[in-house]
Amino acid sequence: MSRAPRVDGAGPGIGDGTAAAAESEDRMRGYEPVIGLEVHVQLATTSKMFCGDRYDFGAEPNTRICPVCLGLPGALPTVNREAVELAVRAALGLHCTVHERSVFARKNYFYPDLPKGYQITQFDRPLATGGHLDLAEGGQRVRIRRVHVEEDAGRSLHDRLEGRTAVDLNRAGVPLIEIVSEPDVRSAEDARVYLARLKQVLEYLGASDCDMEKGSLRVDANVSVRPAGSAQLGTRTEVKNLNSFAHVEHALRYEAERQAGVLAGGGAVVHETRLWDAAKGVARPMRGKEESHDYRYFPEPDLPPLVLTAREIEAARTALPELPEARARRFREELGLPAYDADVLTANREHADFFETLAGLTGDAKAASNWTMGEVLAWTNETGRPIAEFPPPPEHLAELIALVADATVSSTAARDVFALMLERGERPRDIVVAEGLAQVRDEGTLASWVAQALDAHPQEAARLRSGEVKLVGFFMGHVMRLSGGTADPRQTSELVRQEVER
Amino acid sequence: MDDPSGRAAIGRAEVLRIARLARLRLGDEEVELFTRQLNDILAHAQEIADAEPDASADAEPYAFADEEPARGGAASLRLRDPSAQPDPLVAGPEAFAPAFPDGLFAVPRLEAMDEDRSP
Amino acid sequence: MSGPARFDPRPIGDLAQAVRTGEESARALAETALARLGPADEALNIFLASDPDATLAAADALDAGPGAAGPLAGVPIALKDNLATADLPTTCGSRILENFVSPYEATVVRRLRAAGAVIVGKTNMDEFAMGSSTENSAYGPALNPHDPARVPGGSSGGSAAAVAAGVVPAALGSETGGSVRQPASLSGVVGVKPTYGRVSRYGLVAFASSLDQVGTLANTVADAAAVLEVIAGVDPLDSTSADVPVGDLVGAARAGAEEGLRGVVIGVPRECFGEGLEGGVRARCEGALEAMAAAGAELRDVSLPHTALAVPTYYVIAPAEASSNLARYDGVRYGPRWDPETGLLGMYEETRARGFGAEVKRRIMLGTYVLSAGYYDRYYSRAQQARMRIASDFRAAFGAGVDAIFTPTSPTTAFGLGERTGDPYRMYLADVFTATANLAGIPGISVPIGFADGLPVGGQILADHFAEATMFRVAAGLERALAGGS
Repeated sequence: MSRAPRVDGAGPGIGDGTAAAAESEDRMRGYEPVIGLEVHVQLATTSKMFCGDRYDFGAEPNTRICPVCLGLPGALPTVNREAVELAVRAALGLHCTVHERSVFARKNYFYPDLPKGYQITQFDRPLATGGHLDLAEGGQRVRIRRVHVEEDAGRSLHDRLEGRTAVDLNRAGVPLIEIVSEPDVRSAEDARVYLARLKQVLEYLGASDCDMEKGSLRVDANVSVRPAGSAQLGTRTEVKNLNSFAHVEHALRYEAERQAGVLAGGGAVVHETRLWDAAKGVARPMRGKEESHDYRYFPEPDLPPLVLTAREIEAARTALPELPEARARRFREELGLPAYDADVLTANREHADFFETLAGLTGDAKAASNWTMGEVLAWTNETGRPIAEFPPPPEHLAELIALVADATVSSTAARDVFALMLERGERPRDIVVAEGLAQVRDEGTLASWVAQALDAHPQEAARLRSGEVKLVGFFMGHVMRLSGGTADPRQTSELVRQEVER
Repeated sequence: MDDPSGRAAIGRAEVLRIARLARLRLGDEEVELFTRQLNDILAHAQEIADAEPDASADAEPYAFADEEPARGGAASLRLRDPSAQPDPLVAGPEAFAPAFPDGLFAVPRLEAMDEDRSP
Repeated sequence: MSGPARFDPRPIGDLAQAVRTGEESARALAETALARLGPADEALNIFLASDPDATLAAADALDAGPGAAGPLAGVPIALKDNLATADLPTTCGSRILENFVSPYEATVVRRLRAAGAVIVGKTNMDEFAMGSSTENSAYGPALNPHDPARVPGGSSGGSAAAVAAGVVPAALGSETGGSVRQPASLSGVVGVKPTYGRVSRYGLVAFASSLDQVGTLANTVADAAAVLEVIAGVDPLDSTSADVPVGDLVGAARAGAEEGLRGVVIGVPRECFGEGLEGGVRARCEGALEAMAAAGAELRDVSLPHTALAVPTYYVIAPAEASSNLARYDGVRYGPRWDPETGLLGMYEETRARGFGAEVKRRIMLGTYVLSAGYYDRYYSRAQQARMRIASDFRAAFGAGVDAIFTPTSPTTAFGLGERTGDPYRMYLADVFTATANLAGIPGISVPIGFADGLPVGGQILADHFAEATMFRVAAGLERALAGGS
């Protein structure tokens, strides 16, 4: 019952065995990667950053638009309170200093899905600075340089109109935070772990759903390499278009190895932006123009500075939910779970919530952990549905755990009961009665099954009686088959052993 | 010529670079005219450009600067209630867009520009 | 009719009262306005759009409606063409918004309609409000009712001329560096620029966001106050609008007219009476000062030492913001598109090259330059600091007990068409006395103070932030003093 659940992104990469890692090390030729990550996260707000439009992923194009996010002449932005609250929560969860005064700025560039010809973001006065995220408890610490608030652009669609590009502005103005790390990450694997930890923290905080498939978490990386042990930074490249955790790891390994190869061959790394092409497994340089990087940032004159009082910031800090590290520690120390269980369960806030509810109902944390990590997560993996949609209520599962604990059902029968609970939605106790799955402990019934089994196998019965103890198991199996799995195993075993002693 | 100290004159190449940045196609005559006029106008701005930088002033828009003197405008940012509804459009994009086939804004295919962004 | 005239001798408040009581019909007022609009427009090119049927329908709806129809019941009003309206086009005097009808309305337009005002048309303006003569309109220059060979001032030249020619009793304009007060001065009407944040900018097509403000134009100080009272006040859709009570502005104007200027201290900045001031303008200003003194005001010398920085500061900050604000006109979502079929870049550059006029391009170039890498600190940052110094001058003056400051509105009377178009900086100097108020965010009003060589001269009253009541009181006192009252 301890089938290992999948933990998104936290484990080693798919198909990346230790052999591959060793091979990669060879290709690094004694160089060490230095990686910084810029992550854009969509905030889980009900409306857009600067206007009241809702954003629903998958809505008909250009149906979630208003004067503001269309960039109509004369329209003005207003700042979404909920977005600020979630951004502050995320920044505090990443141990940043949230500033009492931050300033919105315009980043000017032309693009058809950027309605105003500028993006409202924050530049030299960001919301928060100076945080950190640990890759594991007590493990490597990656410093967070800044967290700032900004708006998303719309979407350019290249396959919708013959010979033309189509623009959908539903996403224009959706609130984002950008989380910029210091270049503290030292391997592609660690980059993946960083992202998994970041996702975990943001999900815990309720700041974002972090769904990469829907584009609510997007990653750019700065990569350079240097001789291992060197303190100097090499020339970096920026790698974009990293659409999944697997891509991040693959692309960064590729880029670090490429740079190591260039340097080892006596060449120089060119400062440039590269796009990851997942299909070909290469990061190729983007064509870029010099002036495209002159964004002409200046303070957004349509928005006064965002002012938060020290009291408001403290109140937000006090209201932070328990973060995964603290929760895992509590699961270990207060509920007595093994470290493995605690880590697996806290990898996802909803999983941990489910477990805690169940543990509270049963009073048996280990049994609750086993069921959650086993049958319940197996169900989420098989169905691809979130744990919140797990059909039986936790009360039913708690009842099943109690039936096992008081030996009403065997652990084998319990699995059958579980399957029927999913199928029928009935209470486990009703299923046990209806299906006759309760353990039989009546001495007479058990004795008659044992007798039947002995009669059916006279030769083995003789050997058993002559002291061949290993045949106890053989007859136990037969009794279980005869009883349809309901025979109490302890009593049955005793009855069979009595034959030996005769 | 294009000395970032700003003292030297703005040259033709600089005018062309700025025009490109502003997505303005300029005719030869306009390039010449603007080269002359930009220099002329900015010459009048030298007095402020040459002034001693004021350490107390920061980069905030004046209206919201930290320091007194008090400005007009809102004293600080008001945050919008998340339940506030968007200001509705009385006509959809089909009424004002230059090209809106299938509910999408259509533009010439992105070519040289298509990778030329970094949001 | 295209010469100077007044729509109606009655104050706007009395007109609205007459409509509310049924003594006068909104339709009759609208018909008067429309009857004058055609000939005035033909002679002076004042309007860019009007829809007589819709105007009459709105008036009829008011007449048919249930009683008490608001403080501007039936009052015909003209709007500068950079205020978004959902019925008439909003072109900003530009080709790049030709025939563009906004799918939403500006807050000020909604407030006017709610107060019972009847919109009669959209007025001509310098393209995107960039100019001081209304010669930069893509739809031809507006002309001055006092002399059609001269400009009405700008950029709200069409609104000023519409009031001056008697087409409407009041109009809305917008200011960035003097675009209401300067045309009011050159066209012989009253023009108000409120405190920054006093009036919502939502739906005012942006030129320079930190300077822009909607203003009112009318024949009298009290009328300008009556319209401002309706449009002023905090707006949840404009984050820069201020939550400061508007107060009784018409009452303040009445107090100024009835009680005179006893006890009022008027600051007279010597920097505004130096070289470059036309003789006739100087003489009328001296007359105005004498009249105010006679009405009981104490005149006091003050110094605004950074006044000379105003024009260069303005011409760094305003173009910088404009270069960003005008990036949205790209032919993608609205407005016309010119596509040479050379790809997206070609479409952008062609649309903007053909859509914008020379002055707009010049300012986009200037603004892009001062924000670009390597120049930001030298120009944009320093201009922000200069702006602080200019604001400090006013703060010092008002802090020292001055209630209001008097200056000329413009150094000259209306100039001839084409006289300054070849020299941008000379044109920019028309803003020398007005731009300081925009940079400092304080309110200002231009009041007619007489004529020089047959052309109107305006005097400017400036007051402290949100002190519109003081400003109207002093302006009405000046107005009455010059009219020979006491």
